Amino acid sequence: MARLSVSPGESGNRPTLVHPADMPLLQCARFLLAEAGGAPPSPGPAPLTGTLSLAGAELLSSWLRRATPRLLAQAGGGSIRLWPNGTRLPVWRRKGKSELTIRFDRHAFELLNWLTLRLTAGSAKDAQVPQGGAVPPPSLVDSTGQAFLMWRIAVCLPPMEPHLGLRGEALAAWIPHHLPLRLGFPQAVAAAACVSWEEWLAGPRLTILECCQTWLRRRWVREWAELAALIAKLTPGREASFRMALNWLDRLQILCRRGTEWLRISAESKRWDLAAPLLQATRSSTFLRVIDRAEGLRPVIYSDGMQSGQKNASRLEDLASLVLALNQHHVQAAGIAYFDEDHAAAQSFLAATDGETTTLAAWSGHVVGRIRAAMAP
Amino acid sequence: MSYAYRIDLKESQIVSVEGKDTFTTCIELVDVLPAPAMRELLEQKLAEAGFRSEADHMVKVDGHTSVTVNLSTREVEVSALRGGERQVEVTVSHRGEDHAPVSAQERLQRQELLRQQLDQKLQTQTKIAETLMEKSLREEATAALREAIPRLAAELGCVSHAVQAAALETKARSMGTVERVEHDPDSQSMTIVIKLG
Repeated sequence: MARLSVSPGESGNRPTLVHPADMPLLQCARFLLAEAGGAPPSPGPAPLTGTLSLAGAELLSSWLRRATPRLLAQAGGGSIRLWPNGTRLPVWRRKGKSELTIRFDRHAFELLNWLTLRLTAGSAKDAQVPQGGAVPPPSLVDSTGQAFLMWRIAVCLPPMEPHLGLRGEALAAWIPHHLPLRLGFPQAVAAAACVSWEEWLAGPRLTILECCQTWLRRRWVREWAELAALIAKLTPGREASFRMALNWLDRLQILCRRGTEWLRISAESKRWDLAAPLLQATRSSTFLRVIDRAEGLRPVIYSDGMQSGQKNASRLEDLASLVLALNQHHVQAAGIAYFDEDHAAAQSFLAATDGETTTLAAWSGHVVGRIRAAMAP
Repeated sequence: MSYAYRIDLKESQIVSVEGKDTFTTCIELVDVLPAPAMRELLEQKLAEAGFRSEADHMVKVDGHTSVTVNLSTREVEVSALRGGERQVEVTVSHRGEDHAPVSAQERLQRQELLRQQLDQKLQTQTKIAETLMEKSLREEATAALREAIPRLAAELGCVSHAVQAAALETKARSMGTVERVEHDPDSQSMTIVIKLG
């Protein structure tokens, strides 16, 4: 028997005795469910059976039971501002048990097993140890536990070697089916969305999406920051600078189109509040650095002549479209009457930028003016 | 016994190169009158500004810069062209080592091979020189456009203002008796007083 000490989030508990064969999978689960981030485990070359002993299964269930609500609360908790008193209520105080239940079924276990095998493959000295294989596709049945673990895997796997390839493979396979991942990793290379997002706009999956709001806001602030840092210094007339400018425009267009898609999903489902993280991230000072970079691009993209310069500069129109779409979303949300079903969601969205010194309309007019000026030769 | 050799070849030829750049914009007008009437007014005001009519376009050429306005879509294309026949001088150098030819036929074969290699090098260098020249001419065309754009923007702005003013006046006349029309060039505004009935 082996001792596995300190389950995720619990300090001071007595160590639980589990079978040594359970260790790789339990260490992998602990990595996904831990409070603080860390390096993924590299389990030793222990035999991998793909099953758990009774003690191991009970321990895993206990971890999932405790860690899942905590992690979802940390990611945002799905607080919506109620009307008229303005109280913010998290998801566990607004919804019934059926909408809050996240089931960890066979599909979720298979996903955990797959991740363990893939992480073990790098450290295996024994050629007979199975290497993991392809990324398991999302289940077609309502496996909310699997959806939750997919989100944790994407969040926890570091975007650097030696896990970069694994992370990329996982995102490419899951993003077309997983709305939080699709919105949270806009630059990940994946196929176009091939499902309707209706499954994500009801039931426990909606709970997961609502709880991801703070995480989504942080992800987008980071996306804008990374984009702004990409071209801190360019030299007009140089081929390398020109290529970097075009690459920057590619990335900018991808971000803007994903943001516009986000607004469309939010408006069509009448869940106006779901777009609040996008609004908050875009009204941050980080986004204004992106506008500064767009203005600084002008001499570089026009260095290859007016004709190509105009064609490339016109790609900045996607950025203007995103800002205008945000403003339009705001206008539509403000027009929702108090007796409409989606009034609370609309008010929650409108409250997303409480405390800003300028109105969204004034801000968007100013920003769009700067973008259009940056497009002119 | 082998020997080293070097051949320097210089060639000068006249080539035809050009560099072109274009810029597109559009004339924004509010359709106060029906589209055909607005088109007619635009054509008239552009003609007054020195444009000549070519099918559905109005064209004005100023040196190497030409402005084309599509009357249907109101798109404006400004293009600058620099080019013509230029002299290109190319020098290629070929070094090698060879043994003395055994026979006259072998000597001829080697000469032919060498000639082909040198021709190829000359063609490559000439193409490079042409490309550099075209790039330089395109940069000149871009610079000419940059100079022309502010002047052109002002000119087309005047045309647009004149078309809008004429359209408003025509519209006003269709509504009643025009008593007074005042233009303010400073604020680019106009006041039309109409007596109805």
